[in-house]
Amino acid sequence: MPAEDPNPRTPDDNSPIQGKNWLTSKIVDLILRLTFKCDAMTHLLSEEMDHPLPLLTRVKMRGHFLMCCYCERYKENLHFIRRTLRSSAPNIGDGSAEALTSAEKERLKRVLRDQSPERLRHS
Amino acid sequence: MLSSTANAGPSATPDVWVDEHGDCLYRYALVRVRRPEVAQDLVQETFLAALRSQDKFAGRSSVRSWLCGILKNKIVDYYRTLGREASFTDMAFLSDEFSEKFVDGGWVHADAPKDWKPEADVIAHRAEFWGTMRSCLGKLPDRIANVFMLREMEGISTKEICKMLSITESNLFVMLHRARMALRECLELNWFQKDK
Repeated sequence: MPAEDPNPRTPDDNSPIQGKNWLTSKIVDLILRLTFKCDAMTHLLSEEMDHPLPLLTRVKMRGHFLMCCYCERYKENLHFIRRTLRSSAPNIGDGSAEALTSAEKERLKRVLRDQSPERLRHS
Repeated sequence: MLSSTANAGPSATPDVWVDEHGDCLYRYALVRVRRPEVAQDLVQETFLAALRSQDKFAGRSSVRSWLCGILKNKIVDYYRTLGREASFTDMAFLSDEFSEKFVDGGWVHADAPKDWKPEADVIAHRAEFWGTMRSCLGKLPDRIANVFMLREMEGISTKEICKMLSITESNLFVMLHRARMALRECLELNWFQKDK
């Protein structure tokens, strides 16, 4: 009886090659030997967002995705965070309850009035 | 008295600026610096700088964009003046390699990244999501969060950040990697998988 997998793939795993039989498990082993392990992939996927990686590294990373949808999701999640933060950056705080208190607004107005040119003070 | 319009121009009174743009600028600053008293100071500095330079405002953008642009520069200056020494919390954060997430270099599959796609692009506009985002950003150690904000939110180049904070590029990559991993994890646990 085969030993139970201590780290089974989850039901939502949609990697093209999952290693569920002898042949595909050998292919997965080969890909792992030729490419990177997942912990190294997380470093590279982050670094890739900051500067271009060498072509061979990028090819190896694509190869890793063939048997690891988790790393591909990691990449998509990081890009989602960047896209969302950048596109919404000016409005990120909108909709929150955080606001200047009335007292703080009054204080700000006093400071600004003190600095204002005369014409603004009386406009 | 000048009328109070959403686009009260630079010739409007500072009172109108405070009423119409104060809260927006405060929230913009707060999410980035995370300290209310610092955010308030930055808003004040922004208004004062705007007051001094209002004659140069060409009107090519809205007043709010103009004020946000000034505030953004003030925030970058604030980051720049922060101490360059890493704090203890930074070191603890950087040395923790999320080792429990991996076994033999591979993901522990049960805790591996989930697919966010079905809801990701829909929820990005919801205020509750931004509440979670702010809370997750608030959990990052200060210095790491500042580096992350400069890169991911303001889009400043890595070279510029290194120069600004006097850190090496490899140090910066480690900080960004740890920040991204922690933020991704926090969003997954507190938003995408919250009710699952």
